[in-house]
Amino acid sequence: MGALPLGMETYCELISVELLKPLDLAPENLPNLMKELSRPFPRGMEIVNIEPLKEKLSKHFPKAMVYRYTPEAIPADLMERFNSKTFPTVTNHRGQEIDLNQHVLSIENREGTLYLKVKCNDQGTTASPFVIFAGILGISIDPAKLDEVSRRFLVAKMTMEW
Amino acid sequence: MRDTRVVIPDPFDKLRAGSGRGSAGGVMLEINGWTLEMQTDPHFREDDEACSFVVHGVTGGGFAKLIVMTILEKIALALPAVESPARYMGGEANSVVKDHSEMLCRMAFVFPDTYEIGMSNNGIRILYHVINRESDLLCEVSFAPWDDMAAEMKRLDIPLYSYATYTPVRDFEVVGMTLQTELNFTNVPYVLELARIPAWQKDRQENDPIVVAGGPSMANPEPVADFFDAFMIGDGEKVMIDFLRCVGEGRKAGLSRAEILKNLSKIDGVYVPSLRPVVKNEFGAIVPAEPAAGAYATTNGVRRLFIPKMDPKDYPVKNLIANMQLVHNRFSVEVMRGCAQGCRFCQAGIWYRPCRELDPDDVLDIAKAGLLATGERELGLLSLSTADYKPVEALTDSIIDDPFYDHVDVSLPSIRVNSFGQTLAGKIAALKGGRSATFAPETGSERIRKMINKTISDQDMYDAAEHAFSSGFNKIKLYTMIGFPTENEEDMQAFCDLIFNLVKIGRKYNRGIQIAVSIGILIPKSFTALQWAPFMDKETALGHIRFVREKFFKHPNVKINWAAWETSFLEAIYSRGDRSLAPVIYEAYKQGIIFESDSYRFNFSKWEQVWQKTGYDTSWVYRERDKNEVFPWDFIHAGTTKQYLRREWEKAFDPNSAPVPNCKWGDCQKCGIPGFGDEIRLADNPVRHKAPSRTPEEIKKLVADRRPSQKVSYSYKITFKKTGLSRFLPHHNMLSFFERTFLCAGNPVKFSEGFSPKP
Repeated sequence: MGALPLGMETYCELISVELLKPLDLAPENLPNLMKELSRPFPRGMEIVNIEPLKEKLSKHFPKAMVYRYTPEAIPADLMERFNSKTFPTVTNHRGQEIDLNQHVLSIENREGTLYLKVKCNDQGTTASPFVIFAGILGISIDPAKLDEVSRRFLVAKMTMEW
Repeated sequence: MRDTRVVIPDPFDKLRAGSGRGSAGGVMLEINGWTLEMQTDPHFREDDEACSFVVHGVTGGGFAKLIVMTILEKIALALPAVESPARYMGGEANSVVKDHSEMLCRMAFVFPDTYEIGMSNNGIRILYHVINRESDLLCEVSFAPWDDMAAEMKRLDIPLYSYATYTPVRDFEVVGMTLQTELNFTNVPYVLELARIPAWQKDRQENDPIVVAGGPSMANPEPVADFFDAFMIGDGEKVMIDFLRCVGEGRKAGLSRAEILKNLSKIDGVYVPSLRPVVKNEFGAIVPAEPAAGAYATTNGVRRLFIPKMDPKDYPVKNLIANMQLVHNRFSVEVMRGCAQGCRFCQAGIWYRPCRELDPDDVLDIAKAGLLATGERELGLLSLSTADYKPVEALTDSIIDDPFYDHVDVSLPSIRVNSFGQTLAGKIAALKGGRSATFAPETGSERIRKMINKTISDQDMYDAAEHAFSSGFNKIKLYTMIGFPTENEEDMQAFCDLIFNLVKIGRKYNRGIQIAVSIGILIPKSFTALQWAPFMDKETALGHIRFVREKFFKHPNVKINWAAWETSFLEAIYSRGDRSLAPVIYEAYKQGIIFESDSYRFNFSKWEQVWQKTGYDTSWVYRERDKNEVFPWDFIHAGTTKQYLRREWEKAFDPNSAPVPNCKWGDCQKCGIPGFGDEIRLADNPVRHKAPSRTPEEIKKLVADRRPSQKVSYSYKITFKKTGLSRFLPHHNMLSFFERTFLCAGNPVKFSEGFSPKP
């Protein structure tokens, strides 16, 4: 699924580890275990779940991801354009075209915060959420300078759908 | 409409004065004749004391909108634009966070160099620990930002901030710095002005923090004396606490800044430059009007402090865990402080006397606790000469015996040639896999080694090389110098002969051995026997380096590296300079000369322009000092007396003088340290962690037998979140945190098999 872009928050990042000793994942022990394992992490980084892994993580890919962003203003016709599939086609930093009408599966507006469900490709990744949010909100960004510009969007990856 | 920005010094009083804080429409403020409407930011919290107000769209005399932004939020705006955001995100694990309002005194410890260097520094870890264990004192750290972050901080109106709570450094009662090298001097005004603290001591107001420095450069703090309110001279573990309490009590009692400084000057080991008058000596140097005189116990000077023993309680265990790769990624234990070998060029040998060793049982307890608390994979046993640590072999046996260290790389830096016996060489090779050994013969010429009291012979070097190569080492690094007084071409030929002979020894065991020779240039330092010596001119110095280089040009077994004469020249000016350097340093900083310890940034032609502009004459570095000359640093009594150093200088040129022995073994040289040897604290072999002595073959078998079977492993899927400023943690650093956390938990990640195992 690749590396998380620098500057993007996540609430659902996954990593697989192989350890030489087993972990005690009993329900009564799990909260303490996660707290203890999160202790060496910098502020803001925290383990939220651990479960045994039967197969390699790379054998399963998510089908969609939900991203969150709170823009300064939401265009009045946003849902209308989503429903009528009249979002523009934008380009990412590699120059590839992204048809937002195909990639954005749903939009939810919760008191000014947008939750976008975005389709994953066959490798379990989505188009850059920065490009997608910029596209649907009508914000122009230079894809060539995507790293510098995009990190200013406080985008969070909320969940993954499998 | 136009945009502008205002900073309100005490925003909370004004916030609380407003009636509509947090409500729609905000509160009204009047600033600079404008009526402004303030809207509270959704992320604003009442406990965020550090904030300023950014004004958008101010109408002339009309109406405006203010958005409150905390430093934290502004940092989030700055980080996307900088090269290495993990340097500045703060929030390190193991950070100590206390209620600022409950503290008697708070110190911001500002390291005047980059995060990677500062976080590797052991001194900062020790002081962070000894201050924060006091319930009413607080220490938070900060580092010098690289140019790109400094530009963003200026653009977004962010003052230099502490990394644990994002508090402006200027809000602390004390700002402390450690000056590890003179090459950090231009960063002193740089970080002070980024903190919005006047760079010059004379310009500071009552509410400005007390700015204090310590560290190895205190052997001559005079070049930066005008930037600091005070200095701490010597070991800081105890005096730091007295210093902070003095400032805290003074502030609590409502004393003026001048009164607090006067009280500070009465603390043993504290130097307040504004209270010690200076005069010009006959050579035009600014020197103390009252040089230190008499014995250490009764001197009128500022005493360099030394703690009587290495107290295990002063050793930090829960070190801050860095957010990125550092210069040294390891957990360090200082096994010994002080070295009394008596090398005449060595400042540390004088400055850190007497020799004090930590009990090896304590070394092992601290090491294990520290490795578990930080998840580091490397253990550094630090000292000026670790092989001289009395129980070094027994300590090595104990480390080998304990399976806990099987996953830990143990480093023994600074090994003296004549301490590197066959047994130790074999054990280290077996333990570490035997790659390289580092020796410091200083020079290849026995004549020069005798002159500087480096009491090793060519034969000692050959024996050490024989031990190393026969034990399986394939590389030797040699630290050497040129530029000694009276040095000539015969000495350089002897230098080359030594290297040729080492190559011959190495090739008996392995034709591909490497000898890496690093050539520095002697910088005569304060508090050494060579403090009277001239610095070698460029033509002669480069001639001597060229002599060696040409002999080993394209040699398959020898690599020569050498120091830049220009950088050494600058260090030579700093190391024995006086207070007249402060305006030069400030001008250099204004010209953009900062981070000089980074060789890629060093620009000698810019320095020449600065010297020309400030009218500073640098020619004095080539002058041999007069016998009775008063030096700028002579207000310090280092323990060792100036008379002793002068005798050492004279003995250096006496071919009949006897070598000066290492006094830690009982032969007191009466250098001035009181007690005549009673202050020396040597450690005995471990008792609680006693382990059998093993042969290299036995060690290899033991380590192989204990190697865990990697056939059985347990796989887990871990879900985690990365929010707040941790979203700027790069992917590879994030992965390393997972490796670290399982090391802390005593459950290592399975490694792939191979020559260089990686998780």
